[in-house]
Amino acid sequence: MTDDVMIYVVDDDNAMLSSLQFLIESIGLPVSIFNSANDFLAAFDDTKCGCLLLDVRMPGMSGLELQEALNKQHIDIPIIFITGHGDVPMAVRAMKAGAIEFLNKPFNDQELLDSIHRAIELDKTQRVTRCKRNAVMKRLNLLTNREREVLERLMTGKLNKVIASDMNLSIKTIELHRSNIMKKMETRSLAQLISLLYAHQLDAKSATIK
Amino acid sequence: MSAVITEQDRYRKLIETIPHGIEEIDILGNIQFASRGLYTLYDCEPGQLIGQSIFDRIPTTAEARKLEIQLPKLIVNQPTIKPYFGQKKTDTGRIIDVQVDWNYKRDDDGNVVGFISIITDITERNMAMKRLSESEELHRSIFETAWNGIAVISPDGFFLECNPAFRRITGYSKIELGCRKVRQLIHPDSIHFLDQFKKQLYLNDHVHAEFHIINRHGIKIPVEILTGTTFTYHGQPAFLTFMRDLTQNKLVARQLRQHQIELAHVARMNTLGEMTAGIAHEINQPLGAIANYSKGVIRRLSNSELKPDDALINAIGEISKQAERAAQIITRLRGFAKKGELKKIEVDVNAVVRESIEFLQPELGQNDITLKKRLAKILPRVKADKIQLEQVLVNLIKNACDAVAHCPPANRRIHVQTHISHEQSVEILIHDFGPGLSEEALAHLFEPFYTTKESGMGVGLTISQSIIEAHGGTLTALPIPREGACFRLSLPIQEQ
Repeated sequence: MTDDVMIYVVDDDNAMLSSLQFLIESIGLPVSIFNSANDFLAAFDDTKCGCLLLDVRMPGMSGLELQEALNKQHIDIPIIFITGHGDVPMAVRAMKAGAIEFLNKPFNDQELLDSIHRAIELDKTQRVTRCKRNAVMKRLNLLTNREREVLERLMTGKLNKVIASDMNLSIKTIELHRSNIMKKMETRSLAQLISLLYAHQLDAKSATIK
Repeated sequence: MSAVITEQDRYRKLIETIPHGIEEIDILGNIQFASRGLYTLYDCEPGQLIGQSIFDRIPTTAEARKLEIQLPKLIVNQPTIKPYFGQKKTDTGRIIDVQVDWNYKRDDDGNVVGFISIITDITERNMAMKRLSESEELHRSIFETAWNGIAVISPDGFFLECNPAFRRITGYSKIELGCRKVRQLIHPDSIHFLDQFKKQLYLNDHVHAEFHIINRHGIKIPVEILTGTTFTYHGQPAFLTFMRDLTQNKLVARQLRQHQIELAHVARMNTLGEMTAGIAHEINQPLGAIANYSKGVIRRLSNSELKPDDALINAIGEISKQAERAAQIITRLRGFAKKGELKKIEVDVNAVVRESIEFLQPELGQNDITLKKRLAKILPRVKADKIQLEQVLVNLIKNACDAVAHCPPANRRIHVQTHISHEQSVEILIHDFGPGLSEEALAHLFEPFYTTKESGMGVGLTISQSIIEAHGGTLTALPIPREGACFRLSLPIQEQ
């Protein structure tokens, strides 16, 4: 299981970095260390599940700025902030931007390791969700533009004949489209299709328009 | 006989050489004799004047008429003679001021048969008099309206004359000052100045001093005195003294000093806080590393098959515990030196910018630095601690001064700009045209104890940044490719 996990640590203090690596490795987790935000961004591998231990204050790009950059790039790796002198407004800002923990140095090792475990679990769930969503998204992308128009109307609860007159098509054609949608989306009923899309916060327009 | 002729000749010659005009007229005012001097006076050829009427020489008809009426009266009443002052018209049209000294001409029986007059041109003299009186008037009005006190003082220390400003400053009337000596007006703490002052006055052209006087109401007033050397006043030597009331200056200076003290206090507290925080941060790093390593060792030993001695595990546990204890001590220390609460009020950022610049005016002047302000006309108020904000601005502008102080004159420039940014914040830009910041400096600028100055502590920018961040704002250095350095201070506009 540890093969696809990686704990990233970013801190400008090398002694702190190595000691964190030593501590985290002692519970059997692989660790990758960087002494600047830019080094981390260059080496970051999104395929691995894990979390980021991030120092708030660093020369160059600060921890908070890195968090912002990651958010912008839609990289949602869980972040645990570690700081030498944390103040309340800074912690609030970090947590608001989605950090899962804010720890003051030196910290209790158990607290840190618990946070790391929690972060890994969170990342795993997020990944599964993301993966499922991507699969649905992929299927959604198979729909033709016409089929998407029909789907859109179906989701608002319109009957076939209403849709047919809406789109100036025959009921037979609508039924055909509907059956194709069901096939492509791999669902058996309209109710199942709608709940699938809602669960992943998707709709007919979410797919990339070709 | 020849002796008589010679005598007459001598008188004639004498009369001809007199520069004044001499004339003889009959009782009707017709000229019977005119000396060479008179011809010169009237700009005409010799001989021309004989038979002319003296009334024709009067420039105004009214005056001529008056004299025409006067003449018969003189002959009848024969009053005591007194010089006549009037004007005459010359042949070239000039009008001259004249003084006419005259007497009766009588025959052997004592009857008045005419007049003899000596006419003197007093045009020049009158002009000079007029100029003098104008000059006198000017000086008088300067004396009366001068903002500074002016007094004329006798060598024995009495006030001979003093202007309204002098009376206003001292509170005494002219009469009250007239019977007082200088010494009576000097405040006891400045009395020793007086002797020094006198001594210096003998050695120098003028003496300049600042001391205290005591006014009519017993109030101590700081004044600046400038006393010049002696001049003659009504035939007596006297000193001219100028006095300026420094009360307002001193008040402004005291307020400025008070403000300086306040700023310095805040700066000291901030420095202390930042240094403690900086040290705490620096020491917490190795302490954290010690704790991490020892915890890691304990975990590894517990998991391994080595089955180590309990004492060993305990010792390592102790190492980590002590590191934590040290960290706690530092945390407490930091809490102790924590910066005071911000006293946030609604402030006008432009006003704070202006005050900060005003505060650094001496610095700018000394180094011949041009500071250009481009302040937004309308700026929403922001909630901030005014003193802390001013502290940051003074620090940033002072840095800019240091950056350009040793540059060629063309680069000794600083631009300060305020505006509203689209992100709903008020921005202040401080741009200097100095050598700029290196890549390295840009990366470490805000770290505590990082400095590029020889005598710097490296906490100024760190403090500034933490103050601005405590206001919910940001302070950043913008990399400017070619010219100088630019700092951007951004404060959020509060929601209504």
